[in-house]
Amino acid sequence: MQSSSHHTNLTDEELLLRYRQSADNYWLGLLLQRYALLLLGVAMKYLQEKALAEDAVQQVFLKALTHLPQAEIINFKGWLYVLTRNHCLQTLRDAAPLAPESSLEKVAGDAEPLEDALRHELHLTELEKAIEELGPEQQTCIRAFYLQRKSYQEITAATGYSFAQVKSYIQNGKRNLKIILSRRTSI
Amino acid sequence: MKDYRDIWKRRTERHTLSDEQLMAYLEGRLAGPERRDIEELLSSEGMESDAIEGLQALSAAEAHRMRARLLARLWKRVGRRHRIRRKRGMNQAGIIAVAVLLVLLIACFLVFWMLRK
Repeated sequence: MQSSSHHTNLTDEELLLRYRQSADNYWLGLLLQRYALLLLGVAMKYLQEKALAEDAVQQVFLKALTHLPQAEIINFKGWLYVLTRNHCLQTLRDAAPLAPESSLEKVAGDAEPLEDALRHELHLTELEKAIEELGPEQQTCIRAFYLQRKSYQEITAATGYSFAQVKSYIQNGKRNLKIILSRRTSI
Repeated sequence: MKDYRDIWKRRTERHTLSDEQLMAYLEGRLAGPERRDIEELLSSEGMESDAIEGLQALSAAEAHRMRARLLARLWKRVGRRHRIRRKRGMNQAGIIAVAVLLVLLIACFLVFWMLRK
């Protein structure tokens, strides 16, 4: 049994509402199907093993089907993401003596929208100066991605960094820029 | 210099990548603005960013196969409950129909009996 194609244009909120009204898992199934590949990717990032990742997503599906909170979920996607991440973290903790430390290093903190930190307009000249304060790898990646409009693949080819390193240098570079700029504006 | 503005680009919409977009990106089939859109998601923390990084470790064929297996198991579970619920719903409708029919029969019988009297 697969989802009906005429339901695929419904939003998450609409599918969730139909599930709440009918208590029919079919609607929840459609929602979970929508995020299957993304969840598999998230689980792969944290667990780094195919069998474990597939099992984790299956467990998350099961949890969602059997333990969906009665309270209203405003952002289903966010809820599912946190559920998956927590499940992966628990799996890593349970297997702590076996898991390499590097897998725990990959765990990001709670996502904080960087943009929220910049409530007021910042001068771009300030930004340029702030970029100069970043470490060389972060500078290279931030400039290549935002100024030279290069793709991740082009950056990895030009620098020799791995895909994950480029991603990390850009994310951390943005976070550091926020810190540098907020420090300057508070002075 | 104006390109740095993208660093603070605010995503107001709840952007969710479709499986097709995701696979096309991973297979290197996207270019230009479409690829850029996805890589801007990568530069922020969140579900898409984590997922794309994780999926880099799989080939497209593997990702397809794993997704297919997950969905088959998901729909097996959901389908069973869906059918039970539908069957239960049909049973309830049947009981109500029989009850209504019985009430009508009794009413007819009473009317007929009173008329004869």
